Amino acid sequence: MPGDAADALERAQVDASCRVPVMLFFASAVFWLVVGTLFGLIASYKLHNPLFIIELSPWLSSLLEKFSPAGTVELINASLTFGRIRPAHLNAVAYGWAAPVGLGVAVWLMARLCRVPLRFPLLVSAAGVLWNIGMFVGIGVLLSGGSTSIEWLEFPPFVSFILFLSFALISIWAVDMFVHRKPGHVYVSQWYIMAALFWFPWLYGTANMLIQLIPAQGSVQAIVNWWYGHNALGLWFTPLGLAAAYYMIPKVIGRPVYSYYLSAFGFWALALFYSWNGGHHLIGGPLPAWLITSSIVASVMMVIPVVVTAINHHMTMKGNFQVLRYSPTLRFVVFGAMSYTLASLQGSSMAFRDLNTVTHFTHYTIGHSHLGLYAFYTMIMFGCIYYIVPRLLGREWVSARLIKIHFWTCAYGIVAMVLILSVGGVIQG
Amino acid sequence: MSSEPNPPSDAANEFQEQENPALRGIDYSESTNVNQIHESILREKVDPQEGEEPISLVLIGIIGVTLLFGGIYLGRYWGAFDGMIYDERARSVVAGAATGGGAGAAGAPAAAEDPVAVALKLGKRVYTANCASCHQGSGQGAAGQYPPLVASDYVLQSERRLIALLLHGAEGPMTVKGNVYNGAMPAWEKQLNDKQMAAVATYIRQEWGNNGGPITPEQVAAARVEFASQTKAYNEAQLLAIDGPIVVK
Amino acid sequence: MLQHPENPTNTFSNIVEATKPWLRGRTISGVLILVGHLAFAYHFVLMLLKFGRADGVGPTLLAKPESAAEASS
Repeated sequence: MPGDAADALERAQVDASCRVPVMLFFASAVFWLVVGTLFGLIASYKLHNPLFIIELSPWLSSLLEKFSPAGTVELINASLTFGRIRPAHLNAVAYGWAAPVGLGVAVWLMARLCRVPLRFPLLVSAAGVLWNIGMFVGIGVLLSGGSTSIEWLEFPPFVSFILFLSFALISIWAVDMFVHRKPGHVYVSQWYIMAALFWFPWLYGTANMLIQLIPAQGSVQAIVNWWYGHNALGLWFTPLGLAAAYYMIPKVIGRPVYSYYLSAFGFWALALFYSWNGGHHLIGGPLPAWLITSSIVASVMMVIPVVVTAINHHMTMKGNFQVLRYSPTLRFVVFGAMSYTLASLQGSSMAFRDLNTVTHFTHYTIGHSHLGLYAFYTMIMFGCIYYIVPRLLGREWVSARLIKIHFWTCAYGIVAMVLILSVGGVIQG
Repeated sequence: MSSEPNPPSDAANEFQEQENPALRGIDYSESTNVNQIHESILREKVDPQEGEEPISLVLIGIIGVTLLFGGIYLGRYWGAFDGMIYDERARSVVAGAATGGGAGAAGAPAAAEDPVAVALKLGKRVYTANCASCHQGSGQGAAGQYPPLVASDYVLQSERRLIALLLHGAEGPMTVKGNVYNGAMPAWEKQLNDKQMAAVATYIRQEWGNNGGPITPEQVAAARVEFASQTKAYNEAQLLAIDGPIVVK
Repeated sequence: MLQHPENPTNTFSNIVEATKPWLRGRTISGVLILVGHLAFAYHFVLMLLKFGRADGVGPTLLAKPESAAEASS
């Protein structure tokens, strides 16, 4: 067990096999996180001060004209218009940060839980490089105005293809580890990761096929779009985030997860209900009533897996809350897990037609998406990075103060953002 | 479970004793102190296990209530799972579709309950069989002989006059929409019952872009009594005496 | 609420104007988050550049745990 030398040696070997690809995923993800945050900030600033960049033009041009070709300022102006910077923000954080960091965590968790080293780490690293090439091309295309203007699928088809190929190369070896796992109990995190690895290509492939390659006609396209848009969150990021939370919470506090039955029940309820949810984005749209109604019902049914998971996590934590005081990993992960409960319950309530008539098309929805993808998913991934990186590098984090700054700015920032957008959104509605 | 303090010393000693080939891939840069480089791995707690706590009754209750709610909501706004029903609040159409026994039949039973829609169907049949030979399927009539029904003031203005005309027929010169027609229209009083006559009157008032209101069988029955004294076809003057002259718009 | 049917005189531009203070608030919270991310990225780069501690005194924790046995990151 923990003190057992053979066991520790096995962990060391597993970690060594993952080191290069996982660190590559993490590093590129952190890069895109910062870039994506900058994009988001510019987009946000431009919403209340649309002339932001243009007003800077005289200053910029005097700075740039000395050492850059003519037209640079105009190019920057055009690239940073809201219509380009906003999809750039979404794609940078979703496909640049969230997906690679999730893959990195998934590969490491899979290796640890299957207790086998990652085979062909260099191939997986190459796939990670390929993913980032796709990201650079894609963001470049978005900033130069080449968006497909389909939310969540703004990248042109050839970029989607690169990402898809890269994803396949990575996930194959994660699945391979599962196939060659050491005998024993299959832990709940493994179910979630396996599910996510199979759900994502299904979603991404189907959506690209039906929207980009052989486009479905009329309102069906909108259905496919939101089926994908919501499932990318629900059947890809959510299972990865939950897998990480299910691993990190018991691991850090050193006790078993409360109940296997709750884990299993929560998993299957999520699998059953989530895929139906996308339609609630189209309430009031020209779609048959039954389709919207079923998506609303499914959204409300999401209360079941969410409450189940929340109880499971809470009961695991019970009696160990003092660990939150000093463990950076646990603090981030528990913040994320609590946000998951909040975001999901909010999401279920937003699906109701009555509330939806007020909040639809307002900033309230934006607040909700940040609560989900940031306060839940991203915070859990931060926690994972704080846990995994010292093990991969054999070194401890430099400064507790930096971690504290990171936690408190992000926690206050996201809570403030969500509250502000929610209140503002309701007033706007 | 076994969260006893890890004795790193024992494990570390074992590492130092064995020159393990498996460690070769593990490169922690310049450090040669095996004891400290594996510190983070050695201090780890157990890998997560799963407890066996049963699901509490309260939780099962919550789940049950949620499912119940979902069922009620779905039942209320299910739209008959019909691709043509877009308004989830359309209770009557939904009810009609439900009793109509299936998705495809949603529109038809609803229409069957609408008397005007039924009258239009019957009226079209009556018109084709009896009137179209003179007034034409298009309702345009024939120049000089049979006046048009499209946008005709005789059709669209007085309902009583129209019924009287249908009951007893007309003959002699008549001016319709500025043109003079000289033909003869038979009386339909005996061939058509109240329902058929109301239907054909409704039909010609609403077909071809005409926008007159429907005429009921009761109106026809009343007109039979009112105009019973008329024994032969009307001429133009007699017709215009019913409800006054044609108002040219 | 501004788009409520009982509020028919509200023009679209009114509604847009009304969102402005909230949007400013979002930008401020966004700046907070950016600061956090920069701190995190800086810390991460330090780790990549092997500035991480390797002195064997245990994990970097946010506070001192009650007992050494609990120490875990």
